Amino acid sequence: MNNRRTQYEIYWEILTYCKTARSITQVIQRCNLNSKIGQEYVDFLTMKGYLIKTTAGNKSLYTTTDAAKGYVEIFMKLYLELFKNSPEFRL
Amino acid sequence: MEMDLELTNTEKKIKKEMKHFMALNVLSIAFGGIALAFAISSLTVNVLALKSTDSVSLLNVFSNIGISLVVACLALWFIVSTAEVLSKFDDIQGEKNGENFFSRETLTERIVKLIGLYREEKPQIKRMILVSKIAGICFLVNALVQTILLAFNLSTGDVSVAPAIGGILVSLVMGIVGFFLPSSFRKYSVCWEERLFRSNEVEKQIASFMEEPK
Repeated sequence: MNNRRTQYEIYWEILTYCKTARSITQVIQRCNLNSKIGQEYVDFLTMKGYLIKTTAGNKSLYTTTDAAKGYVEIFMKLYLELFKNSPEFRL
Repeated sequence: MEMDLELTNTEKKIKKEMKHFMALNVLSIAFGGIALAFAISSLTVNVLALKSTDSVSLLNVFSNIGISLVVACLALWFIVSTAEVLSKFDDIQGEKNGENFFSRETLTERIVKLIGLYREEKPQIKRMILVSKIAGICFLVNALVQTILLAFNLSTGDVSVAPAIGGILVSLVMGIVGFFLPSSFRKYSVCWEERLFRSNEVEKQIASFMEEPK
């Protein structure tokens, strides 16, 4: 679904998805990004050390590193708190 | 243990909110469907009346046809808009339905997707609030006019009471639903606006976390 997501939400989605090694095509499809933007996000996360690029045969695969754990954890903590501490919708 | 309890509460809250929003959308589709049926019925009656109407009442019939067409278009737009929101919402709901227990990751994913849905559908929801409110006012005015006509016709003795009261009741119920829908959509909007507002703060915290030297 092409939601209007923030860059941090997309980073989190990519990092969570890449817990097991994924190709750029898989990341783009799963996160519903276009190839240019998807590549930019993956490159940024690789540059930050949150993703590591490996090669299997002639394929490049990306895997989330231990360095990304802090980001993934703080993201989940803040979003769960955000939801928990806001008023509840009911009819 | 405490964390598990917090997660369970958040999970319950998400599930409950999603159930309520689903119900609101289903109610909106039913409301739009009834409004469309009213408009088509009025359109049919007035188009058929064109044959037998004298030239004096012709303007009245044409204005009725015009109003019915506008109402039919608005009702159709309302149904399509609600169906679009519902379909996107159903995508989110359907993804993890098989799971009995939500992990922190699954809960976060749902929150992210629900915030995204609100960001995307916010203008549409605002328009739906406006249209359903206008429809509610129109139905209440219609109920009032029909009641006045019934009272007038009762005094002249020229009336069949049962269908008239039926018409008034349907208009009244639709008027009430027409006010209930926007107020519920507004409640939904208020909740998610607050979450959006807080998410800006969250974004800043995440940004500063990312900028910290490791």
